[in-house]
Amino acid sequence: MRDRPQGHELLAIAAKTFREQLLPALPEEKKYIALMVLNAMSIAERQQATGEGPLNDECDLLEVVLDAEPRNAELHARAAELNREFARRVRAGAFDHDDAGRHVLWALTLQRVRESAPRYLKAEGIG
Amino acid sequence: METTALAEFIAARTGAVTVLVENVRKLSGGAIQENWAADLVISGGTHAGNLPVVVRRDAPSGVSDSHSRAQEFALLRAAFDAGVTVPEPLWLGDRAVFGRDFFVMRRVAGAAAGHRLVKDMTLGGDRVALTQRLGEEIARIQRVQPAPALAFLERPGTHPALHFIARSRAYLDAYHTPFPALEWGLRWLELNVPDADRWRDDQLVLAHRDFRTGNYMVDGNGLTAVLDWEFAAWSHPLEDLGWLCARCWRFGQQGDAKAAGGIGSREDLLAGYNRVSGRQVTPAALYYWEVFGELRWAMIAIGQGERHVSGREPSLELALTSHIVPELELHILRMTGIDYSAEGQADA
Repeated sequence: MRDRPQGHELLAIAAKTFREQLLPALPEEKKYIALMVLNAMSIAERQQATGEGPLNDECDLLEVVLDAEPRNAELHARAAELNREFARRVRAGAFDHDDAGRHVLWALTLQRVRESAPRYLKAEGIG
Repeated sequence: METTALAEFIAARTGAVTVLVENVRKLSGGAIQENWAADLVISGGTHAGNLPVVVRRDAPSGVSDSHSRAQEFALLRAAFDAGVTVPEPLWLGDRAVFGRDFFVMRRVAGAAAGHRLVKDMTLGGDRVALTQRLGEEIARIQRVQPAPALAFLERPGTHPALHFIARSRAYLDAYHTPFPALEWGLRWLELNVPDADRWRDDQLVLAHRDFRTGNYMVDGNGLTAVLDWEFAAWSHPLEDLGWLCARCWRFGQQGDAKAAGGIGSREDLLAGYNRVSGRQVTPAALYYWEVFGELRWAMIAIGQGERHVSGREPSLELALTSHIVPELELHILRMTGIDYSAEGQADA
């Protein structure tokens, strides 16, 4: 068991402190770099906070849509393997008119946007 | 910069009696090329008078797979002669001067920062006029004809979209991470090429291939220069128009009124383009090429991110570029018939 605050909690308070106390003191030409630092911290924070739940869900969805046997492999390797097969079949046209496949494409991509660029979802009014 | 060597070089090229090189300063720029501003005071010869210039030369350790300085000079010359608003290329250098390749171009005033331009209405002049002007510039670029000096420019051996699809798939096959949503987008591009049946290679035109807000300069009155030609190649007449209108290049501006680079409407862009090109392109015809633009930027973003991920070039900016890809993918899905946003929590 890790001591609290854990990684994502530390990143959150570090980013808040950086934004409120350091950012205003920076010269104008350094602000773009500071905003990039904050953006990177936010992505890391969101990934840490969600943990491996989304990756597990992703594997479950892909196993169903690909009709693949569940395998007891390391999670990241399994996700990569399933995504590779999914990508191959998408390219071959297997999901051109397949509603389940389309839903999986949407769900997997939406989850990655939630972590990498939630601003897009807000701007486009996507929940 | 070695100003004496430069002064002698320019005197020899212009037949000047004297050349003074003043106010030399290094401009911000890439790791592969250096840009230096200088003010020349020339007596006699072909260019007598005051002449503001930029000297663009290879960096000391410049290793590059982009165009060489001689190629860039040829491209700028061709664009300038076709009436495109580019800095006038003046003299192609030789290695004897600095020990590296370089050329000299006329210096143009203006600002290029995209984020500023879309918000700051004191820049760029009247927005309708600027938007039409962008279309006119793209049409003028397309007037450039193939010539031996431009033989270095890439020419797709098939329809430019199919060429891109094949290259992207080859890249993704060799890449460590699969991208199912990009595969979906590429599949859509493959199935929906509007002119696949009637395409002929003689329809290829010169395309800038990075013609977007941020890559042209403006002053208070309007456009002063089209910059950043390193992606230029022979391509489809609609590629540059679609690229400029793709959502990713609007700098946060929303809605059709700002679809063209966050500046103006597609209608105004095409009014300028059609007037100079004599074609009759409609806004609807750009849709395919906007999707194409989103896909192409996603592929470039993966490549830029990989420069960081591979450890070759650690950079926060490159690292964050990788994280642009998911939102591009989601937008591509929505443009190509997959949009479950109305279903709320349709995801896992």
